[in-house]
Amino acid sequence: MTDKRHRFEQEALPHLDAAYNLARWLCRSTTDAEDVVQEALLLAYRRFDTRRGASAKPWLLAIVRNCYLSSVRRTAPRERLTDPLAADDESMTPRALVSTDDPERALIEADQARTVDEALGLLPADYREVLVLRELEELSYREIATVTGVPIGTVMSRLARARAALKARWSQAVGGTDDALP
Amino acid sequence: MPCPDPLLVHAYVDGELDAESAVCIEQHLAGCVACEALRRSMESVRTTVASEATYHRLTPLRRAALLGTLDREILGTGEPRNIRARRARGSWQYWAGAASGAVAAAVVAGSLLLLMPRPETSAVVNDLVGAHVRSLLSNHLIDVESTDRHTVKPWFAGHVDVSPPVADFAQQDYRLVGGRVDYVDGRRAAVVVYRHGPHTINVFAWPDSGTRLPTRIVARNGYHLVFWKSGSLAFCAVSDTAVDELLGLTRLLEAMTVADGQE
Repeated sequence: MTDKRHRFEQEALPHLDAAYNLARWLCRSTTDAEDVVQEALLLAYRRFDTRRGASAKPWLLAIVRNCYLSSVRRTAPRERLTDPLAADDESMTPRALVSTDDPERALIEADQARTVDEALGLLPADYREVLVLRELEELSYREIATVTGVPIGTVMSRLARARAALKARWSQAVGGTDDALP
Repeated sequence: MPCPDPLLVHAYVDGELDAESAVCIEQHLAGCVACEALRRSMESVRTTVASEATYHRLTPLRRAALLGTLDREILGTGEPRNIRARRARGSWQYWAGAASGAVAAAVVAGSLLLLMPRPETSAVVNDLVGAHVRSLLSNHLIDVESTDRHTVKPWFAGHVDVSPPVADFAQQDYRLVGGRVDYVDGRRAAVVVYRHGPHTINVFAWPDSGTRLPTRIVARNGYHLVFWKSGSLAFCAVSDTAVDELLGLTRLLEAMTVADGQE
């Protein structure tokens, strides 16, 4: 085993599940997520030696995110314009990540999952992303900023909006009041 | 005290504030119904997502296929510059040969094969990792399912030439779940299957033909292998657990084979 291979296994591969989890939540499809992770993994290995300082997890997740964006650009070159929900930071966000989802289609695509999964799946991609990075991967604001390539202030406002949006969707989904989320 | 920016309440919930700011927010929350409601609401969103949203994981098969692709990348050129250059190489075509079938199944199977051929690596490591990965596909893990060593051990006697030690170490969190027969290094091997937390551990045993085993601990594609010999048998435990957890089981088994030998 070469030294590079060994270090890659020690430092990057422990985050393979995190890479897949992010890709799967962004793509909302198992096969697309697997393609994205494969591309990201090969790219990460090639770039491994040029990685500067950054800890491995946000570094790898940033590559996954970029691979996702490239795949979206390849398959859907003409994205619709951005959703007003994300207007606060659209200038900072690659268009493919911003809120162009058709809720009805997303609803049909949604797995027969528990309600939190469904509500999260229905959110615009940039909101899904920040919630997955914060609540599931437990990254700090700074690490999320590294992954998403935006300033920390933007991470904060996006996270706040994403939480509010999730709560609203969830309440809507169960037809309950604003207090429905336990 | 005027209400702080709501973003600071989020930052407080996320533990992102320094101690002094956190105390300020806490004091404000104690006396402000609206901000305290926001805090509780966002806290609940946070814990609900963290505990109920699905954390998606790769299946063992897909994980193996992905790592196989990485192997191919590394083996293809050593330090490839780009995909085009890699494809031009003969070795790429060799590796791709197995996967050239158009159907997805063939691609997956090819990737599994790619786990194996690495010239400088002992064939037995490749056999074992391949067998471990295949065993994690449903149906193949266990031929005889039992937590009782008095069921598993006699079953081996009827199916394979070796009689490995079998025991349930549930107290140490290595639960015996069964056994099966597999192939290692061109011969039949007895495999005792354990569960350790969410992990499956396969312990392979085959007749020691006197060949040298790889080093005691081998890491390969995210799996760990621990080798040892005892009596007339060669053993290898394979899993994706941490090495020390794997060593925990192998030490229990080694202690047992020593005891068996003295009987």
